[in-house]
Amino acid sequence: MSNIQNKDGDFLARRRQLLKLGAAGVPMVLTLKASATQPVHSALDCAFVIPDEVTILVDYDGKAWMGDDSIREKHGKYKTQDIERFKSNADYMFPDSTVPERFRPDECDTGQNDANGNDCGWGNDIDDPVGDNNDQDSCPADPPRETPWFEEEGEDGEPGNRPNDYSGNGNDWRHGGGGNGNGNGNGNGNGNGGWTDCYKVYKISRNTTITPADYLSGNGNWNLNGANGLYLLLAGKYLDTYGNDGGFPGISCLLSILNYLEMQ
Amino acid sequence: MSAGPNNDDWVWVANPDHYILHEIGDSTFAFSRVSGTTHMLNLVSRAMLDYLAEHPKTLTQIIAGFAAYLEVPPEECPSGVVRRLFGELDEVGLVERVEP
Amino acid sequence: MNRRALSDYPRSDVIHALRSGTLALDLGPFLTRIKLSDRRSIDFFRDMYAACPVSIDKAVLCDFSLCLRPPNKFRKYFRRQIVPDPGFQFPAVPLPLEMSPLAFEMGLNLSVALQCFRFAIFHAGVVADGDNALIIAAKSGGGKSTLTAALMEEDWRLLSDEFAILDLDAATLKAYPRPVSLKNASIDVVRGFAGSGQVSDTLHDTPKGAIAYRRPRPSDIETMQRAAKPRLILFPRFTDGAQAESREIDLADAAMQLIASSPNYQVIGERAFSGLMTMLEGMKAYEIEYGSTEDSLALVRELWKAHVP
Repeated sequence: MSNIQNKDGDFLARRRQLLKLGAAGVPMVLTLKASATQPVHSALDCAFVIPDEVTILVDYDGKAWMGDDSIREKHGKYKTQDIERFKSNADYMFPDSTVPERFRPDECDTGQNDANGNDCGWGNDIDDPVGDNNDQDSCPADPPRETPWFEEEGEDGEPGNRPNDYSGNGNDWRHGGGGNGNGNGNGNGNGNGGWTDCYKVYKISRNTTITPADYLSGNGNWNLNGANGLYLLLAGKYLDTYGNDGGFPGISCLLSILNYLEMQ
Repeated sequence: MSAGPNNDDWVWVANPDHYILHEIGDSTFAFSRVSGTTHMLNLVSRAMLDYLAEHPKTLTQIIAGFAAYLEVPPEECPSGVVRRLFGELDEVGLVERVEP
Repeated sequence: MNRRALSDYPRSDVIHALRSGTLALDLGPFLTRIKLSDRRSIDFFRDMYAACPVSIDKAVLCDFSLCLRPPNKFRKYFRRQIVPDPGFQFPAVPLPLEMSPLAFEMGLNLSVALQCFRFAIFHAGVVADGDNALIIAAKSGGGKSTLTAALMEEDWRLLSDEFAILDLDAATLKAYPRPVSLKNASIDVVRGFAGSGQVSDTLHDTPKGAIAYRRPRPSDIETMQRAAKPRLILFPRFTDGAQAESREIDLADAAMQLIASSPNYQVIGERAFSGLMTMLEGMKAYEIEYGSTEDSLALVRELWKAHVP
């Protein structure tokens, strides 16, 4: 006779307790799923820590700057002077259309139109296919490039090598956008003394842990949202341009995941 | 998966040839030879499996008789619990519908 | 088959055999044909597997075949990368060339995890005291490998850092003593007690952080054909500053966790079920939490003494 059929008083009490749990909706049968791919999935387990507070500034055209300077904010507007300082001190800069619209400012109504917006993208002047650092005199120098086949024609949609799109709207983070070398006159007013709502600021506090796999759906699509999601998006953009170099926090972790997805 | 066993003409049975049981403490591990999956049963779901292995029953009979089989008063074994428990076993394929 | 310790072969023969893909590693229950071409993985292999029996006879029939290669032509020349190719399609993680030892170890893991169906495989470390085995089950980063390496210093035999390989007929665990994978802070901890000479160079900035390997001892290799009967399962958890504590857990819960960690249980089916259930008979399972290696060793000693005659 099995232990289970050996019904002492305690045994009956345990059954009755289980019945109460059953009445509360607790399942009585568990099905064990062995994971045939668990050793493989461990590649997705990585996480990384943002070592210092990070601020990401996004403009109306989808440009982004990443740095650690502060930006004063009042009633949803940002101090123009701080914006300019932040941009010039930024550690990383991303060109037009890098950031999907859902992360950009909702409106931009400073009423000024300086028509001097430039396109300090990552090289790729149409006349300058190798992407040196002389695209425009007003732009900061592009970081050195190691991937000569990347965006050589400066067109939207580069010969990217990863087929997986994140679920954003249009601006695939692995497909470099813009960068055609033409100033675009985008109307981002930037008088030094005032306040502007043509930007949106995202902050990630020091020691934040980001687990990229948390932003992946079961079918391998990205669901990027919030400041951490934007960080991942920019990290992916950086990765596609510069590879696993340059000390961008979390790049190795992200690379492992993108490579994993690439092979799916 | 579940057939929605509410037709009282249908009779159900647990066929011990179709699974292997192994007890660990109060838990029973059931390996289904039909699906190749392993299930963990508690004392109550194990009792239901044994109850259904005795002979085929309709769901009405199961609801009416399971409390007595468990040796508990009927009010401690409400029909909703019995119905859902049966549904769980049906869902994972440990019980089968047979011809009356 | 003509086989002897890797270190007994002339260096040039080993390198030639590795480059031409004719070297067969005879470790535990598996023969693996290995093809390496980059200097770093070759050096790593010659160092970490020096005591292991190998054959350089190309006529040997092997269980697995593992080749490290660039993921594509570009990566052979630009920002050089490498992937483990075990001969079947799987979601590879290309790594920079300098991480080829990690790619090699991952490739061997994949070969066993996804191609072995003679034994039930569970993701766990295993060490043995004589013929009695201790299973150390943990999620990645839970402290499994550090504890495994620490127990090696207490003269436990290393069966495996990565897999509990269950002989389905005998309900015993097979040895597959490969290097113990150490991550981040545990690297210096293990260097501290095992000696720097026993631990490989550290690979920095890998997808898993810093990685280094503690080499198996010659005695682990010499006794690798000796299977062991599992007696105790531990689920270790290192928590900085934690009081040492153990808590017995339901063996059924332990079984669930083992099954969930298995890459081949579902495929093997009934035999894996029966083998696992037989293995678990008479075993005990504990969660242990600790804040130092010393505490973890003390807990293991105490539990082992209480449950293993």
